[in-house]
Amino acid sequence: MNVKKSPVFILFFILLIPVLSFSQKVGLSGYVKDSATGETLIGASVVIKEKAIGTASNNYGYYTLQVEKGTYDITVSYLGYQTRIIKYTLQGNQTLNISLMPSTVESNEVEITGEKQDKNVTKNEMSKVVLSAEKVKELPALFGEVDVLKTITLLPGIKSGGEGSTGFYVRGGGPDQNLVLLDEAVIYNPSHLLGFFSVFNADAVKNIEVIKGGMPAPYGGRLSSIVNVTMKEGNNQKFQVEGGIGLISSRLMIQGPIKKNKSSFILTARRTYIDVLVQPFLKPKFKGNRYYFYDLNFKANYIINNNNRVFISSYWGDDVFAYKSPDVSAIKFSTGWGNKFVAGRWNHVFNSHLFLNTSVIYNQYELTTQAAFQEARFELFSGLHDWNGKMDFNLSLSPRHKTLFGANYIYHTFTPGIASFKFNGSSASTTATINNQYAHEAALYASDEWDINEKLNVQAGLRYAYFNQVGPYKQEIFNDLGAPTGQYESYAKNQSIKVYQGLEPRLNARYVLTEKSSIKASVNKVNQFLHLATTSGASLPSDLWIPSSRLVRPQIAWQYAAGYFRNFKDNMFETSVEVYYKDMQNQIEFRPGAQLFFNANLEKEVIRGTGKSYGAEFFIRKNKGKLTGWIGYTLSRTTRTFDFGTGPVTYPYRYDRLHDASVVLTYQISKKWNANFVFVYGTGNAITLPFSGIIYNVGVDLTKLQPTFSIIDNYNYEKVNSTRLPAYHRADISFNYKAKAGKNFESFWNFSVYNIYNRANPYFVYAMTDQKTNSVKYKMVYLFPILPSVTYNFKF
Amino acid sequence: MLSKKYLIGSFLVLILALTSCEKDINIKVPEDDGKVVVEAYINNLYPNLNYVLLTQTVNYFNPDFSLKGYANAVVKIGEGKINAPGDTTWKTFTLNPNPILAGFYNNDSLQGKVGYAYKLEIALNNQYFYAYTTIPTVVPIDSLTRQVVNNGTTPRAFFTVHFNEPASIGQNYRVMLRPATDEYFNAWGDVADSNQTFFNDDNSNGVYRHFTYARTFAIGDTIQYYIANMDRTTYNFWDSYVSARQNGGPFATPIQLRSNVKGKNVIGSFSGYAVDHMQLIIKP
Repeated sequence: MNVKKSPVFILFFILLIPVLSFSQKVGLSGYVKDSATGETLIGASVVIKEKAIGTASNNYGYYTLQVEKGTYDITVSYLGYQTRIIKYTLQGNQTLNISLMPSTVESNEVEITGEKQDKNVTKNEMSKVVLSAEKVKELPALFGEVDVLKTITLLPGIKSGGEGSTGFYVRGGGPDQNLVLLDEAVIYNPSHLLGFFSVFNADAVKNIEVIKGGMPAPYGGRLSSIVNVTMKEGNNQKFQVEGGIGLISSRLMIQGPIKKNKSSFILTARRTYIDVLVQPFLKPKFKGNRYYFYDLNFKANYIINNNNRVFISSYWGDDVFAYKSPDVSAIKFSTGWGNKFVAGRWNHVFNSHLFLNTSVIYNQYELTTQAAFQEARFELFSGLHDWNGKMDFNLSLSPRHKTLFGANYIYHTFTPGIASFKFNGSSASTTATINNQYAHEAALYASDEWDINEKLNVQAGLRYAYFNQVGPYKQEIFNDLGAPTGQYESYAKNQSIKVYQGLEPRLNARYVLTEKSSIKASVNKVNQFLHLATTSGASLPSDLWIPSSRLVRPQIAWQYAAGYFRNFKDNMFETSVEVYYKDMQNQIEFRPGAQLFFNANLEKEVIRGTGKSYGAEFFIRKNKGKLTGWIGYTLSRTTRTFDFGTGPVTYPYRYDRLHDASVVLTYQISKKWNANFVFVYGTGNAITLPFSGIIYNVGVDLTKLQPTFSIIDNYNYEKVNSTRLPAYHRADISFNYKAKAGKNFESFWNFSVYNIYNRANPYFVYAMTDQKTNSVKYKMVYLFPILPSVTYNFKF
Repeated sequence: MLSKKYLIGSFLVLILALTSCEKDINIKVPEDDGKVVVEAYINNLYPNLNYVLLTQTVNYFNPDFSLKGYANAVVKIGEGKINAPGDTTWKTFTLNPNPILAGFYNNDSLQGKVGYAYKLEIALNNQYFYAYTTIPTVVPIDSLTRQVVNNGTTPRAFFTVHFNEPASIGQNYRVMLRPATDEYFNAWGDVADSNQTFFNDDNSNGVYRHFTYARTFAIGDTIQYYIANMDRTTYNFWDSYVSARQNGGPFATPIQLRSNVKGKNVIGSFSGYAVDHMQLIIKP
């Protein structure tokens, strides 16, 4: 091996940069916390103005600064909290934990994020947005169900899949190209009810970070975005109960200290009861249907000492659908699917220069189905299980360098399908199994953020990504027609089947033009080794994640972005313009009509192509005053190029939207009332419609003396996605009323109206043939007309 | 297969019943390319069901929305006795156009034989289309049984077919159920789409199969049951046909039929079936 070219050597070289610039400074470090609850604050600003240096607390609320010995005024601020200035004398490496008091809304003004207000100009990172869960709770929501994933689609560059979908599309990427994390655990299917609601219970959520470009080196594995949702830790000062009663679900949260100042827990639960409420209104033929979903979140932590803290967190959520025939009790059907994870985490402070987070996570997504028809029983199971270990180091040796390095390892087990059938008359059950697949996924990374001078800051990083599909695996060999040949290739346990690896450079740069304006640029490469097997635009529970293999290559994307950032009126207004270009290789589609579920020959159904997306995103946000909010607009184009058997065709991606706009406004009417307004507009989705019909399976119904036949749609693959649905637009409003607070009791009401002008937005379109009049009409199905809702929230 | 379809279908019914509305819209769609559609069959059991139907794709927006048959084609089916790999003796039958039903061609002397290869040739308006199929081995039905359930006052019965899936791989099935008192039927399309299922032995080869229908029948009903075994090419067409027929709703994808008929601007299948039949009268 050529040592100089090895990934480890390059990563080691990056780590040397801050070491070489190390000077005789001392370190100030610690945690920034909420004084009322003990919750750590992510992204709090810690600044020593005399030295013009500063930093922000990391994802665990930890900060570190390097400075010469001396006495300084340390300014600590976080939006929604009172700023503290602490006079502190540093004589050596020292720890300073800082508590901030939450500010009240006495001034009738609200602040909409948890970020310092000039961060968008001064920080290196671009294409990143942070949202607070409290803000998300106030916005109007469908049926009053607060939804984190729907809220992020109000940001420029992030597009909603449309009505009834939590799928989102970031800068031309597919829904499987978003890494959705909850307390660092991957959530493979982040939606309930076929995508109508997301799995995140806002009561359990502390912080939502969305990265749509300029991806930092600690992250990888998905081409388009990172949605990093952090759960609350639990109040370590006093017990609290919070809850909400809504139209279709209710939720409850309990948090409190296990040992005051040392240890705390939080437990949240949510369950829908629409299945109970709608039963009286269902027609008899639908009476046997029952559906609900629930979420449980749990987290606990223990501060061992100032340098060690441990956490355990867990999520458990399921959708359950059951059917029992109202006519024949012997016909039963039930299916359930859901995500679950357990994560253990250890934060360790070596010294004021070095911080380590170590996480071990087990997560799974499973789908089970059972059906019974009298003596026949059918069961089906599929799933994905991960063991995930990661170590993330924060190194701070110089005030001009912030260094991150670490490693990540995941062992994936894919269970595409196990089906068993039992007939009471037979002696044994029949079981059919699609062989499990196994893979090691690993990464090493390092990055250094370097303040080269007061104006220029560069964050250079490198990530080495490795993927190895391994045995045990018995690969059935199929012929060209897709039929099994009866021959197999077998691989022993841990025997390598196919290895993919690559270096992913990540480079972000910021140049400050004036105190209130800067320009930024980024370029990065990402490999994605897992792929979602789906042929539809919706999120189905039966969609399978499949690994890269000999036939299915990893997806690769290069993204280039540049932006101009400018704040006005003492940071009251933030504005930005970002342009981007994204080139995606090894994009995969599945052959139209492919049988994706329970298919041992799934790899042969894959078609490989490329994708491109480019656009400009405009953003203006007002942070202070009675009226706050933002307006986002994206002008973009997204295409895919695939060969469906008639030669390569470049066509608009289904979610290609030339225009995409959103307006989000909050007006603080009084101390008790605020009003929120949301408007969204998007160019209609590109779809493929048939241009003629094929009359087939012709017969005669002798009882009616009429011909019988089916009409099959005939498509032209040279004109994929050549038809546009009508544009999507909608406006929602909500009013929040904060009731008079008692000594130990607070409550607020949320009154929402979804789709206030009753816009009929397309859910899907279908052709209706009328054989009597010999005509065809296109019908558009739309889901949600104007829908009012009310939610009562309480806290004591 | 069953679970996914049922799951999605049930959800859609529930969601759409609760919230959805629909309205007519005008959408500009591409022009029809006027393909020739071939529906051709050869089987071992029913000579009247060996026929070729030649039609044209129908333009959705043409006011004359009706089935157009091609009556002017020259249609031949070659019967090939396979002597050895690469050595086949062919005997050709010319099919006669039906004077009443335009586009329908048959020949009463054409009797399908198990283990034979068949070649379809069509000459139409200076175009030439062809397709190959085979009649593989017959997979016999072992038995048909019913299980009576008493729900309320009227007893009804579930219906199960039992058959021994051969140890050799490569069986592909079209199973058909006809609630009719007699075995005779006019065309393969007489069997309603809801009464037929296509599957193969890829994932469960060589086992004794029980196939219970998820619905009940009245006491006294007569059921005609057919199992047709076919080659993979034919199966691939019908598998895509089922996907295309069930396509619709928000999860629809543009599915193209996997035609086994070769030629320019043609779509369809030449299906060879090895058929077995059994009848069951539902008794109390």
